[in-house]
Amino acid sequence: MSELSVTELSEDLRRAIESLEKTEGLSTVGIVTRVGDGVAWVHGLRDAGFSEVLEIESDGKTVEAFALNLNEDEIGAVLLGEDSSVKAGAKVSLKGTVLEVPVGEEMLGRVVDPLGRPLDGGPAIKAKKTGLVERNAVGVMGRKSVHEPLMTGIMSIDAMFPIGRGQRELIIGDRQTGKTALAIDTMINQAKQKSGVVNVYVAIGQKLSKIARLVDRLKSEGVMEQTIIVATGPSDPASLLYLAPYAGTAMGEYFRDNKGHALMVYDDLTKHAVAYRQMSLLLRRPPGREAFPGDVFYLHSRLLERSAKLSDDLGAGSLTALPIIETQAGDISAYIPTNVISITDGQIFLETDLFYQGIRPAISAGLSVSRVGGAAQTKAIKSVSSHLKLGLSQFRELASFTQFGSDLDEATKKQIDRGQRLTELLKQPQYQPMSIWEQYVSIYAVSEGIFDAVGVDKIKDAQAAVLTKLWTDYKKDMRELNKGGKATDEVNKLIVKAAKSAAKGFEG
Amino acid sequence: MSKKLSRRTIAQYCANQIIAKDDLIIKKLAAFLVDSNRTREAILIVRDIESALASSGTVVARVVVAHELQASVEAEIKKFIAHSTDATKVAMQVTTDASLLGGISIDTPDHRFDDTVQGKLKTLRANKV
Repeated sequence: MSELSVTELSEDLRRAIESLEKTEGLSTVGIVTRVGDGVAWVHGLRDAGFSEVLEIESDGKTVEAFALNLNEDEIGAVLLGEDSSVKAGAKVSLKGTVLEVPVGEEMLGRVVDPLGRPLDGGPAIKAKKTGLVERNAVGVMGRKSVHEPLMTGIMSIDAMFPIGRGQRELIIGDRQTGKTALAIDTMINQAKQKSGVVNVYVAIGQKLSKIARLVDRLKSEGVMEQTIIVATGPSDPASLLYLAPYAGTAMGEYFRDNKGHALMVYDDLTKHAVAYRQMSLLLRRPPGREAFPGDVFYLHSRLLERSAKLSDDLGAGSLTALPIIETQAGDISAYIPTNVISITDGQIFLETDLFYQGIRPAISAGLSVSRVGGAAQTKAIKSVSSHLKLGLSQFRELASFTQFGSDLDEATKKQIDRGQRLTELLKQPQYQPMSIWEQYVSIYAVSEGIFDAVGVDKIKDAQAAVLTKLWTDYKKDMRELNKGGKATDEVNKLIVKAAKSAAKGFEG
Repeated sequence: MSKKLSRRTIAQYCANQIIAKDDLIIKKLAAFLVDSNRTREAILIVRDIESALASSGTVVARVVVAHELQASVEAEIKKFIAHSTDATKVAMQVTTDASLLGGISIDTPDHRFDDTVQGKLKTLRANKV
């Protein structure tokens, strides 16, 4: 048990009693007229502003709410606690602030709810600063184009759809296609590569068992020390699910604004939109397409616009976002997916078919794109991956045609053989992000045809053998290559030599 | 179909009529609420009328005290309310409630002043001191 300081506690009590001696003048109050489904309707409080925090008195305690509907006769407020303790006729007063959450280094390694309250059973968080949950995005002049890489450690992403710091890259796909796994691998890679990027994982309505497993995994991988988890479960009020990504962003913005770099993972925005739909319908806002309210686009655009690469004048920090969207039967033309696709700077589309064929990560080369990451790609990876995406897309198309016949010309056969090897090579197990030199060597070896004589089923073994040999024999060169600069001809020769000798054992 | 009148519009009209000394206005309002099936809103409309009157300078205040007030103290309270709300006229309804233990609580349509011992104890409990 922690030691209690008698002086400190007595001072606390003295201060609390002293503050009671001061009675301010008349304070503005309203009353609750109706309450239910997490929404309270309040009469009075004509001075209330949008998104202002209200305090509702109930049985000796206070329940907070925030005003979202400011009507002529009443205010619609969304409760931040249980509605069962709020009764009609209860007095409501203005707190005088909009929503804020604790931010800072103290939050690292903690699991908190969207109001910044610890959920991990740890000590109280004594953050010195707070951040606004709703905040305007940085303006045009405060930004800089994305130019630094954010390595995910996933070869197919870093090579074909590179992500830069400050970019918003959507991860989209059906259920059980590995969306969260991609995001977690990216978080793990930040710790493994010591990139200094802080991870903020926002779980929106995720099963609590899944969050617990994630925390355990991040702890075992040594990532938790540079991670903040904002967790909401399916049984939490819709208001908390709605607030979670904004609260998480406020925590990430602290690092961005202090010359640091942070990575936001929103898992997932489909559930966020559903929570907002629930709130909006209960607040009697008119429903639109798929019963979502008219401002559901703004809901996500104002959130994702806060992710940015800051200009040098503002400290050159960055906030990168990996929002996740779940599709139904691969339909990316549904309302929420199209909205978020149009907001983000590209998307990684995961296909169920590929997943069940054993191609994991199941990234669709044709439907995925990174619109701004190219400028941020490391020179090393850029030099070997320029034709990768096109080659892979053509292979997958050819492969589907060749199912109907076997009379193929030599050029097509060669393209298919190379494609099969490339596909095999790009398979990557979960929790095993690859460093820059490993990615470079793997792609370079395939594109130079070193693995052409290796059977497709032995490609991964051959790749492992090449990487082990290079790391054992040429550690210094590989460390240099890992810095991301373009490989010299000497290094390339070394790689070819080592790869050929290592691959020999797998030929035939 | 006519548009549903907002409570605020109804209250403002009634307040104006009260100031103009229309003795029938309360009866008219009651008839309107019955006719338009809005009797459940009566209490809220009364609060709105009080609020509209307050912005015209007439404040209706409910004062709750633990013990009976002396006339001089009552006059002081009236003065305090008039000063705090910029009112020219204060209509005060004083009630006693021993459970307050001490102090005074003032409720106007949109404001509250709670300086009771009971209120302070509640704050202490809410702050978990």
